[in-house]
Amino acid sequence: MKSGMKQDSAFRAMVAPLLSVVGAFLVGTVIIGLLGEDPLVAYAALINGALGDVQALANTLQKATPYIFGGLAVMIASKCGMFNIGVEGQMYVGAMAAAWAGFTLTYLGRGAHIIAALLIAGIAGGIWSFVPAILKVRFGVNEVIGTLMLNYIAYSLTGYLTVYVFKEPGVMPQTVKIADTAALSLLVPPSRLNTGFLISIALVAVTYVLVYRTLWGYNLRTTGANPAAARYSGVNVSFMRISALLVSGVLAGLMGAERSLGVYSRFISSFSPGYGFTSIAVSLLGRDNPFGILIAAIFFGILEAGGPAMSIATEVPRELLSILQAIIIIFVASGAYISKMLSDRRVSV
Amino acid sequence: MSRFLSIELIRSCIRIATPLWIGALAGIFSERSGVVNIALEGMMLAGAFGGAVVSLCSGQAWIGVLAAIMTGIACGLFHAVVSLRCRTNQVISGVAINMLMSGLTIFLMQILFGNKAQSPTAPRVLEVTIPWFDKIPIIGRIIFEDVSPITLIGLLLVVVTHIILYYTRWGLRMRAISENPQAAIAAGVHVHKLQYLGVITSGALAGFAGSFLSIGVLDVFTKNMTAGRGFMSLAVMIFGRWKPFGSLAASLFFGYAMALQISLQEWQVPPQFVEMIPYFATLVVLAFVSGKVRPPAATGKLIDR
Repeated sequence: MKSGMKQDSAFRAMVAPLLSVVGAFLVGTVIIGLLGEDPLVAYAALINGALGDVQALANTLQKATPYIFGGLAVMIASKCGMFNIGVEGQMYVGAMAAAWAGFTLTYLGRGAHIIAALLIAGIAGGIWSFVPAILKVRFGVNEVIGTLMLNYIAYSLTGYLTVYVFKEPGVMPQTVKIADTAALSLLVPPSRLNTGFLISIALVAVTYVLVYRTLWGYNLRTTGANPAAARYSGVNVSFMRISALLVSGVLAGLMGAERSLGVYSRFISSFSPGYGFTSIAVSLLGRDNPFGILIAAIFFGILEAGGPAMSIATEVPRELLSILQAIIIIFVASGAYISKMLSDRRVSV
Repeated sequence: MSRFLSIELIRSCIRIATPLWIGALAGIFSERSGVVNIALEGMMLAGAFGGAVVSLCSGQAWIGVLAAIMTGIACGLFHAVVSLRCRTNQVISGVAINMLMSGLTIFLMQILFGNKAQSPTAPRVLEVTIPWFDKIPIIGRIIFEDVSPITLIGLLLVVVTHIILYYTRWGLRMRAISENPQAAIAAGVHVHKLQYLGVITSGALAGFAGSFLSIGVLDVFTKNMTAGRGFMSLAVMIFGRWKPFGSLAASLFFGYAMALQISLQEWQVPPQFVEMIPYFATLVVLAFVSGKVRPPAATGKLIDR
């Protein structure tokens, strides 16, 4: 009986995101049709471009990797009732820190070098989220504003370090290359899919256990659900908020490290097309569940990896896919209302 | 000294600040009605795009400005419906609108102009010199000589917003909704109607601010041309304590920091450090005056009817 109910609710949790995806693609079909193209050709090219062969698949997973890290980062803060809009900035700081460790700590051996670089990136991301956490808990500054402001400071700071301190000679705004000992190894070369992907998968399991199987996770969820009730039952709400943002920032820092150490082999100024912001969508689509986030991230990876193929096969600009991503978010987020509206109608009929 | 305070510097400060304070006014209308508006960025971008396209098609810059405002209104209505009617989290709705507009404007540029990076050149709103006023010493040269009409209207809007907020029934009710919605409901205020009005007004102003970017200072739309100005407007609004004149002052501070950055380049001060100043300042102000600077109490909360 009990497991039946559980299955039922798990099923229900899946339905809204799935329907949202289907709905968004229907909207996409109409748009493609209006452009005078064949939607089936466009979608076939999209799927083929993303999943057609091993290299395509590897490329898709490579594109999905930052969203796995980022989705988990957003999720941890969200479970505690907070919005971490600052994943973008925390990621930048982490990416820079990892690259710095990559080209500086060259006396370390291979394993130690990678671990040190990842560690430093995590700490950097954590520092970047610790500031708004303290501002929230101590000074009552809303974390949405605090993390947002720190995004800009992160852009400028990493931009400064790139151009004035660690710049590689040449016109590109990028740092010198990291040492080979710090590089995350490629899984299916020439694709840039690297061991960072495996780390992100491991973190899916780790965060699941952390959130659902530990006391910290229980307190995290209690604080998120009802801070007043949590406080009365003896949970240190301030501590939970600080530690949640801290963990969130560490994940975001690792997200940046994967880009620097695995994909670019250096830090590139403004490398991100908005990974941190899209991660909010990923976490939402994944229903704030680590495994859901994994699926959602891979789905977003498919859209991004298949986009170029779609716009080559047809005249449809690949920005259609970012439009669809936005529509999916709106559908998922208003899903509760829509399903209520539908069920109300059913009752009245 | 002249490096830090010249008429040219102040003029460029005002030019940079114009979209920021108009954007901040947009934020005020929304947040004072109790709705968080992270979507300012996307609304501005949509306004900039709509303005450029219509200015291009009609050949009339002012019709373009009108179109920018209409585009903003459409975005505002969308944000209002999604976050008030469908009861979606307002921050999420904002994030979605920003993503949507970033993608949609590039998508439409490709369809309309076959170019994802920028639109063709469109007629722009030309600068004017106000007779008589431009003879006022110093102020005349700063504000009334060779100035964009959008800047002047923007200044007027600060006054208008102040009057609406503090001297009209609408303003009183807006402030009531954002501070204590239950009391407002008890007093018979149509909360949702006013919230729609607030968010739509917010969209209109954001669209107007966007038009300044595409057909005010420039004469083209370029992809993602708002480049964070919507978020900056939010910072300006907060720094200005959710008040029109406060926002104007805050935007001038932001604008000054950015104008200074250009003027300090020969001093070898890395521009990135000057860029950071406004954001640091906002955080510091928020942290140390936290008792006095606080958002309207109920902004972002869903209100049950």
